[in-house]
Amino acid sequence: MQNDTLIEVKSLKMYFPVTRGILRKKIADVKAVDGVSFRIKKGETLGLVGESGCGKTTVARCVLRLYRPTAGQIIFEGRDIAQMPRRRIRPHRHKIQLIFQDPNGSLDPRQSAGSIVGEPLRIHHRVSSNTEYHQRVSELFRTVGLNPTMKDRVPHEFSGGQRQRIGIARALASNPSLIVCDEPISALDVSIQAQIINLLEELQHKLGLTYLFIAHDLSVVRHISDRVAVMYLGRIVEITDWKSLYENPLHPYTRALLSAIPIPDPLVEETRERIVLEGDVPSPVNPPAGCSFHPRCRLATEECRRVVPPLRRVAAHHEVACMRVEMTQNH
Amino acid sequence: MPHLLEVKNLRTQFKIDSTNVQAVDGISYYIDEGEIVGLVGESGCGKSVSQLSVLQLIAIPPGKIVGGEVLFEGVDLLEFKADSEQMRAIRGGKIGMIFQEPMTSLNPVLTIGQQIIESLVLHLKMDRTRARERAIDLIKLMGIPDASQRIDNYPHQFSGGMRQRAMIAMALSCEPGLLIADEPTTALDVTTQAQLLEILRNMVKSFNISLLIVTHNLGVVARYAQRIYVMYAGRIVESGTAKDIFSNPCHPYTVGLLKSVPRLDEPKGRKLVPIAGLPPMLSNMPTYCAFWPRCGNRRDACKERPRPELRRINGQHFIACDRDIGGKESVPIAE
Repeated sequence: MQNDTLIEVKSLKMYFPVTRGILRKKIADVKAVDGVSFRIKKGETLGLVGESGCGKTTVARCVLRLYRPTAGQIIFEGRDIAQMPRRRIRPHRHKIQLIFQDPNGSLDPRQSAGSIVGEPLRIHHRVSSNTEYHQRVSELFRTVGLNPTMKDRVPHEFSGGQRQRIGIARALASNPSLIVCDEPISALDVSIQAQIINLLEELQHKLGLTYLFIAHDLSVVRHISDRVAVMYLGRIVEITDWKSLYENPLHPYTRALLSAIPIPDPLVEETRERIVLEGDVPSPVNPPAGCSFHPRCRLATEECRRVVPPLRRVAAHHEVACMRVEMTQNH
Repeated sequence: MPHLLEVKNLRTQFKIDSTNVQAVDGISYYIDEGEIVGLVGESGCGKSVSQLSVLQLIAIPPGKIVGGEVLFEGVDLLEFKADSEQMRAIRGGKIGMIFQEPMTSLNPVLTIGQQIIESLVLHLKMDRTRARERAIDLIKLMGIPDASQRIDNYPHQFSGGMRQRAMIAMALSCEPGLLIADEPTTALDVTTQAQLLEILRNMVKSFNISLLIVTHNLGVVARYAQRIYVMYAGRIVESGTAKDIFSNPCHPYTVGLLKSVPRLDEPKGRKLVPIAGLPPMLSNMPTYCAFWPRCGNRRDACKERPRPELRRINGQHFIACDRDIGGKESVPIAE
């Protein structure tokens, strides 16, 4: 069982200090990620959903080791990389790559598409000769459905969807085993989004990739993921397989999120239950005591205001952090 | 009965590098009293420009409204100059507007209250004290707690959802007959989106306002709109009731859009069907159907015809496609 795990994150915490005054005295912590654990198997896609400020991007940056986490473990291919010093982590970086949200901001406007895609090959010493370099770049272009004759063009000469393909080719260049996709389609037009989702699915199938797929749109996440984790204020509140997520959501927040996504069919919409949450997401500097969702939760009791609910297993592949979910809801 | 707003054959051009680009190319639509209508399309299809043209808010030059009529309560708004007394009474008075990015539409150096009071004083000639009371009521109505204190906050002290609620309060302040909401929730979080759309719908019901939602999100229009217009490359390509559009989409573009988005309630493993290619460059439009290069049902014959006009296929259901439907053209289809 353990052997097919590619990455395991255990009690990950990432706090950012809030400072005041010229001495930059620390007055508080922003608990952006506060005890997140999950595991992704080889070849699997884990979807990470949540609203802005819930810490999903911070999780991604910790996994990529762009941040050094405050506490917790990130066990990647058997090694804990959470506190590994920069120099030692470098040889492992090529195995975890990132696809960005904004294809305009994440490509250097003055660099040619070919050199953008080829840069990781040089940095990570993946090629030994110039011929091999050019061959590999052309191959990467073809892999993502771009014509290699476009190598010399600069990003603005491409459409939004094509730019996202360049970003994907760059992520693939160093032969990664894990790709973190941070909202990879939310900046694209509706008719183009499907092209990118399909491409990501094909690549996973062909190259055996593992994805950590971050998005706020549950319908997209459900479509592409094998399992889905829902985050709220720095914690995972529910983690389950794609099927139970829609058929048997247990956490009140997950239910509200699902109900907020309209289904493009007026007949279905007529009969759907609407859960409209009150208020806004609280600030992570000063989160509510107890369950951080309780001020917006219709089921909240006195206990919810005091106790932080732990993530507990309610079915084989279903964990939820809520006091009010009865064990009887096992299926 | 005349429609509350009827737009006939509206055409808007932009002059770019000394060529004229037809951003809105002869669109016609209407909204009746108390109706929620959706205008759907991807970025660059002209959906926002068409709304800005209706309110004469496009920059002239480079923009220019070159033709058409905008009949609001029976009066053609295009008869008035953009900066005329009459247009100013319409904008924010009889027609309320909500835009996508609340931060850029609010003035950062004025309090939320001042901005709502301004339109009350201007349009309804209220005195400041009464206007302030009304502004507080409106803010309360939007579900913002501590309204009497929050009204003196500046926009940056509001969260994104609250800013957009303040925008809605402002748009509703003068009891408009029509509200135009251009991507009202796109920049917001999922649960906040749901909150705001419910508020909008409740307001429409309780004040008997008409609402035009301009969006790219098919789900939103399925949930809220009674009638829908689908735009592509400056024209309306399909229109009908929400049921027509979603249960029996007929234009290949509408069909394509619906097939390309994942749905929460569908079986897993359905392969998404993207629409091939890219939207056309408005500066380089073909003389034939603009969707032809991406169309799955195209015929060579389509290329020899001019851009197809809207034709009725059933009741209120219109499409701009010459393709035969069910073997017979312009005949109601069984199903």
